[in-house]
Amino acid sequence: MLLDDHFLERFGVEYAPGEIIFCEYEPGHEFYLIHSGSVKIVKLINNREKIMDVMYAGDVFGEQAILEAEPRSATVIAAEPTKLLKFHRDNFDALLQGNPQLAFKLLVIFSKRIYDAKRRLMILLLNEPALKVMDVLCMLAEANTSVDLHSQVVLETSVKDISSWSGMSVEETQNALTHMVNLGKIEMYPEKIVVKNILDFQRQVNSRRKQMFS
Amino acid sequence: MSDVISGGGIRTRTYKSQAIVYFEGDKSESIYILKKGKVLLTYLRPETGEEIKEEVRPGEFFGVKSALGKYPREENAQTIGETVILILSPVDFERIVLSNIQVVKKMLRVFSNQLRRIGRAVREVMGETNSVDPANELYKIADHYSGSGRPQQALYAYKKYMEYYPDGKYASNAMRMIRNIESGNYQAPVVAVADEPVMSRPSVSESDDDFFASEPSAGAGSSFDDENVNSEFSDFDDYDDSGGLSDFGTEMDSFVSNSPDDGMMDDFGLGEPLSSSPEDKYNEAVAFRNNGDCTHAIKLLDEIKADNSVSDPDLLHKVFIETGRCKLEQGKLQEALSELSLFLKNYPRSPFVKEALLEAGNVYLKAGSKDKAMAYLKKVAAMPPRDELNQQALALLKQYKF
Repeated sequence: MLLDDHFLERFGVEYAPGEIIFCEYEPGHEFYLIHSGSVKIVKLINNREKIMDVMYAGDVFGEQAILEAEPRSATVIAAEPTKLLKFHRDNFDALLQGNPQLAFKLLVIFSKRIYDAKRRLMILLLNEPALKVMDVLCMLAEANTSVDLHSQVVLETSVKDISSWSGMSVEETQNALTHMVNLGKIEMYPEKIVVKNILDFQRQVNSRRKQMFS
Repeated sequence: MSDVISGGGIRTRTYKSQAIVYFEGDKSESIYILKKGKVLLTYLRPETGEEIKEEVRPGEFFGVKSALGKYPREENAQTIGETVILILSPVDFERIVLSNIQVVKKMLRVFSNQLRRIGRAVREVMGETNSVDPANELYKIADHYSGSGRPQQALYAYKKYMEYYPDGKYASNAMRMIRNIESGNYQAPVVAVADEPVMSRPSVSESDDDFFASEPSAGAGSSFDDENVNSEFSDFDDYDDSGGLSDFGTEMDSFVSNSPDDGMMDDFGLGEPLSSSPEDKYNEAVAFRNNGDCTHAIKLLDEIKADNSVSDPDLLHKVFIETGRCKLEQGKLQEALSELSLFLKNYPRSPFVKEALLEAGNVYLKAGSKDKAMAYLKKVAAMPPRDELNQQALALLKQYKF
């Protein structure tokens, strides 16, 4: 664990399942490190609650409040009995001075989040369901640095994951995937998807992306 | 130079002009610090396809995010002129930043801004409107939970609404709901609260070719009033007629070739400068603008203007021009012109006159006033000495087929 036990005594807070930690649009002044348990990151979109992400022990959330007091961009709800470390922005300097490792961890987290958000944006901007799904698969393949993109790629993912990344309904996502299975481009298993030629997907997505702005 | 460098496994590499440090799509863990010279980062903005060029300043890191996040490079990095770059492994980088917490804080701030910006775009694509009022949205969330049989979540959100917006327009409703839930009399609301009209400011759209640019508060100033703009334009003409532009040519040969502050690196061992001196604030403001956060940039610039201890005229002049540039990016064209014309009136002999005129040309371009734009750009293009500004002006003239 990153932080000493005395941090838990000083900054520890506990939440019961279903309890809101903070609400979207509420001004944010604290950020949180999950000590144990898990939380759901949710947003209301068209008046329906959508789960954007689930986070577990060691994850940090609310970090955008560290440097500026802007409204929260999502609601966070405890998914089970959860222990968090809660740090106020005002303590941030002291916290960093005492825990430069945490500072470094935050840099890494921000780097990943920015990429994920940007990648998500690029997927959402594509205008065909099939392309969105292809690009989600490309993203998952790119994220795994040990994967050889030149041979067939095995991705541990599910229809639900892909639907959440592509901003489409599960049914729509399933239809697009089924079509790819019928064309022999992918094989689907309960916990994984095998992509025969991910480079071909990359080419199709990139070429469409170029056309979008020409 | 700090001894951290000489002691670690950090390599120093000299690149020729136009050399590629890395290509978009490359995978590498190296992190770079520009020591001397110039590096240009080029990438396409995903939502518009527009090509963005960002200049790295000496003392700055680049290639950080993709190295730390372990994803492919997102931009091309190319040198301009002979350039010296320090190459760090993630371990070197970690060691350096751990001993420079201020550098981490500054990077976190930049990253945080980028994340906000992309987050806004994602929300936009997902069908959320840009111009939302947090108070109303918070209330809507409370109502959503209340209406979907989740009184505890509703209670939390109603209470937060009352905590932050006790005078809000839904305060009495919120209070009633809190009492109902707390007394066990919870029931789904009988009257649904109507959504706010989506666009309460009809005139924002003209400045929206970059849909990131519209901060929630930007709308008020960006409504474009022809009459006012015209009066600003004539202000500007006054300067033009009386200012004696031809006199300036010989006095302005230094600002473009001014080498950046070489002391930057040594001040902090490594990395980005702290944000205390006015000069640093200025640099930070430029960085904010480059990241699309003109609101923050203008705040910093205003602080410098208000700081009576600032005696460096060059810095003040740059602050005026940068403010104009920020206003231009925000689509506040009148304010941009005011800023630039004030500068030109007050400092007609500043070495930055050419830069101000170029910006003015840009403002007119954005305003769709081609004749004015052409006049200013031609002026810039003809002003000696020939430098980047002349080239930029010529490129714009060509681009818009003047």
